[in-house]
Amino acid sequence: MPNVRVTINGVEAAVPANITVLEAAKFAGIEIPTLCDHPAIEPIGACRICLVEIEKQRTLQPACTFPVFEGMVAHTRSEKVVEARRFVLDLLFSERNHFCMFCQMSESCTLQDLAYEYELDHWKFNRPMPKFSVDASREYFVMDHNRCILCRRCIRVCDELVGNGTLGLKNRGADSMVTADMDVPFGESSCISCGTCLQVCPTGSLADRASAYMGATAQIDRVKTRCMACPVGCGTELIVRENRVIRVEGDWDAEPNKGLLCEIGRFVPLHEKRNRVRQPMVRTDGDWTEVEMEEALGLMNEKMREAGDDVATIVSGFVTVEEGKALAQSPGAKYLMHPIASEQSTAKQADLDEADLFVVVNTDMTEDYQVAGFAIKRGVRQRGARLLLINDAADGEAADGEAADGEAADGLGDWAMRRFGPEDANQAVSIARGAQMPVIVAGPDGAKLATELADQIPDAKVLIYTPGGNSRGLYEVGFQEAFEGQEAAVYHVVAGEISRISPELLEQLRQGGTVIVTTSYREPWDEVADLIVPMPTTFEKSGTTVNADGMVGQVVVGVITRAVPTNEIFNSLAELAQ
Amino acid sequence: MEPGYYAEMDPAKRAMLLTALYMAQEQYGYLSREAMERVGRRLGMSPREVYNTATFYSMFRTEPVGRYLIQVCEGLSCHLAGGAEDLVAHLEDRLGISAGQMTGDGRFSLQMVQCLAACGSSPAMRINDTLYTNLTLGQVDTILQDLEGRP
Amino acid sequence: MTFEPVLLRRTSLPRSDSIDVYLANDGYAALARALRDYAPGELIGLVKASKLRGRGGAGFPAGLKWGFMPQSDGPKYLCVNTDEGEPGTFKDRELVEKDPHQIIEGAIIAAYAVGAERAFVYIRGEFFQGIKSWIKAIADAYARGFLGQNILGSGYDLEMSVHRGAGAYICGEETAMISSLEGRRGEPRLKPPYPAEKGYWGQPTLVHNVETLANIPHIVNHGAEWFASIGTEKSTGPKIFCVSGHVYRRGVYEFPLGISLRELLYEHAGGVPGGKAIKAVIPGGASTPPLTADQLDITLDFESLEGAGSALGTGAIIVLDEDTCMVDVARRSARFFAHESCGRCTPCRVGTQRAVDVLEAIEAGRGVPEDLDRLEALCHGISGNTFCPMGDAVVSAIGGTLVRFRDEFEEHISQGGCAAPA
Repeated sequence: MPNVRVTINGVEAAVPANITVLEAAKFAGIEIPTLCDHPAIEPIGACRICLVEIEKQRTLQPACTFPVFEGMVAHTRSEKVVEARRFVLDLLFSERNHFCMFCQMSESCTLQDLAYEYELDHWKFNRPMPKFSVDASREYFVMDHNRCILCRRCIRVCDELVGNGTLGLKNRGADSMVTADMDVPFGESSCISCGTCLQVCPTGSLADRASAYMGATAQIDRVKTRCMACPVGCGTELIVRENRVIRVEGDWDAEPNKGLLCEIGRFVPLHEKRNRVRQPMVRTDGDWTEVEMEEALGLMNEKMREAGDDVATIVSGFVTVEEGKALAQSPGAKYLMHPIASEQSTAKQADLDEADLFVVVNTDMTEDYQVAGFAIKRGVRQRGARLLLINDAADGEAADGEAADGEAADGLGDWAMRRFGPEDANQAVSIARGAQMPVIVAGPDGAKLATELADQIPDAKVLIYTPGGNSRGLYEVGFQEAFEGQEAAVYHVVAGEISRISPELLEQLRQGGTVIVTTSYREPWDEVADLIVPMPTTFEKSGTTVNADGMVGQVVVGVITRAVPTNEIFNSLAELAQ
Repeated sequence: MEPGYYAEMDPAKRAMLLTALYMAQEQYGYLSREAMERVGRRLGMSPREVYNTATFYSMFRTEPVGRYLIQVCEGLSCHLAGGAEDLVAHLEDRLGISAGQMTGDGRFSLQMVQCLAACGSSPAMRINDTLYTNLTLGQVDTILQDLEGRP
Repeated sequence: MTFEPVLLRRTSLPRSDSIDVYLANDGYAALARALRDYAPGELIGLVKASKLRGRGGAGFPAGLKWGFMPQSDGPKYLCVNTDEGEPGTFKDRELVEKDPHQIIEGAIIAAYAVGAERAFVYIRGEFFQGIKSWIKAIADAYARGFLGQNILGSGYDLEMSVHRGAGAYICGEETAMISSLEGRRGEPRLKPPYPAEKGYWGQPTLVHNVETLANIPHIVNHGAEWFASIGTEKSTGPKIFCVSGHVYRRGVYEFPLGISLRELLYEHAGGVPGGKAIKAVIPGGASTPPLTADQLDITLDFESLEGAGSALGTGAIIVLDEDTCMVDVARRSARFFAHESCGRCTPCRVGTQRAVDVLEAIEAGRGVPEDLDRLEALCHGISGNTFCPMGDAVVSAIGGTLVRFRDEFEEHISQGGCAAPA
């Protein structure tokens, strides 16, 4: 793209010709305030806070939508501009209830920041302040219509980025209201609690329950790290105050999620109800006793020594590469807690945003790898990409697009062009031929089929998702077998924060052998373990993870914990092996 | 208007939305949630999109109204020509309701509306699909008597 | 002035809406001529030469608008704007109910000139009779071969259908109308791109008011020179004026642009009932600033009214006699615009609400002197800063009244309410 020369507030800059004044100003290091606009979504020019003066234009123009042109001269802080912005703020403050001192987002609010910046020291207009409802029907956040400025960011991210389309606008003019589905309580809506709306709200209209009143912008630190809950491997930002994570946000700059998160990454860790393990615990005669770490390690060594090589080390996806490397040195067999596939991804997750055809094999992308599922929905909705579903439950009968009974109702079913059983996969191949950029996505059970299909579809690439945030990284350091009931005298389960555990595993651990569990949470391990050793959560440790497409992510310490770094424990096991 | 015919011709089924909403409203008297869901299914739109669009337009009703919806123009021209206020007062008196309400038997609803494009022949009111212009109070009584007398 | 009506010449005939009456009175002759004798580009030239300006309010030169439509292949559309919602305006209703074929003929010629393959008639939802007229007229035009495939053997195809709006003034704005036609909330869209570039479903789209199109057959029949000879130098052709408010004979009148307001009101509309004096005249529908009594000799054309700080708008003339309360007029306008704001942009959505608050307070006797500053701040802040032209309409109506009748507003505040006779 050729450049054009522009002058903004006297600063000359050469900028790409296809950008807006807002983007050009950013190039020139000049900030223009925005409320309705957000870099991640399409601009709509609605709030008018970004009005700027552009020479030779009759009126002020919104920077978020106005394209630059050769020789453009713009002023972003002229008297006229400041006056117009103050007017917009005066109006917004008159529309609903914006008494900042009672708002949980006070001092973390774009609207409030602008009021300070533009010196709104009195109410210009009267404030009839009609009373609107506060929708507190959702578990993790509330929607207070009294604080809403109708910027529509929440609606647009829900539609454009997440592809969920729960939020919308009812009525028109001053009666406009953000509503969920057909104006049902938010908690009864199709919302999937991804929380993206919350992350973009510029006021206190959408407020997080966990962090409300807990810390203003000036009091918090932001730590960029990785989510380890699934192999999408989203970049996150921990909002930390006083050595405590009060909120998790998606990292806008991170691949592959570009700011998005799902319920599991954003809310679940902060709403954890299980008991945290802070001290090693030994079961004696059915009762748990807390012991010192030294004693626990001694016990652990003793048990392992007794067992010789008859030890099974079973790791969850919450184990980092570094932890895994240390564990790989310990005695006995090494297993992944989750199913694994030997096939590897050939696509990058970023390819999901380019694909014109998706084939999803044996996985529910709306349930298991949600943020990647958002990308597929975006593709179908916005680019008109075609979606083919292949799964065992489809049984080949559902070619008419109707969901088959029961479990076959895949979350992406409504979006799919066709569904096939695995035996009809050749039909998918014939549809997929001719696609410019086909991407085949598969869970562990579908990896083999997906790779076979990729050989038959020209230019097709595959993305293999196997459960566990770092399964792929652990595979690379030696955990290449999934645990499927192999017997051992000593089981060492390295669980981390994992909460979804197969009943078969628990049953087997209950049956016999010595069970040592290294875990962040007591439940459900206290039912089956003989020894429980504390393990830091993802928020508390550093290390690396490898996600589904092989990208290495850094896990960074957000809060400092008393729990002993697991590496010490694992290293002592490694010494034991020698 | 034959929706099937146009749906085929239009680049997108969605373009039939307003027509489909009118048909549903005509059938049920108002747009229930179920009706909007059905419209959405037919046109490949989510119920949410149907609802958001329907509520933008003042002629779509998402709540039931009386069998006869009486709308009186309170626009500037009608006000100047006089008679609109008297007309509303007379209707309120006669029906025993205020503007914005429905009679207990569900027969009549009374609404004030902006401009009926009858500025040249006010006072004007509309009852369902019929526009009445240059009204006298006597004529209003005759019209109401007729409607009251219908089964 | 006596003037042989052009646009309304058939409306007094019995069954003037029927295709037979239309055909018996030169109907569709212009279409036949256009298809036979003119290449599309020549028609654009003809309309440019006629200097016809749009009759929907903005007065944009029609030929120029046609010229903006790309020559490229691919679907192109024509939208016939029958969403007449501007308070005081009822001309389009008259044309649609009484002479719909005149509009259809103009629409076909326009569509042919710009290469459109489909025409949409977007009609205001409240026009029950007009909707029926449109549907009947279009069906008749299809039946006689003026619409559909190979029109009059020319090889040109055009489909036309009626789409009913549902109560939203803003849909008269061309991009909002396109949103509505696509089955969306009737919110205006960002311009540029203009509809001629990206309109209905992203395709080039020409949007014209009904009255604008009604002029086209006459231009084809009688020539651009004849058309340009009617009216003034810059405002050519006949115009339908809707006269309402305080006059004896309210109704539609057709005269050349440039007729004097005084003549229209006193010689044709019968003057003011009770022999009262005129206080103000709103010349172009509720969104144009009022003229004062000393401006009655103004001529009704684009340039004179612009020069007087108002606008021709839709040609909807609302007469206000000496007893009219101008605060009430402003309040009613504000209420209308607040009700019709789509709500997308802050200045229009909230600004109109605040204007209603202030004007209601003043009218009810609760006004304070600072309220006038607030009104001025509102007008100043809304003007030019809204997403679509509706903001300017609001400012014309409210600000235009405040500027010209400020003493009345001050009186309301100092005397605690309205002194005008009820």
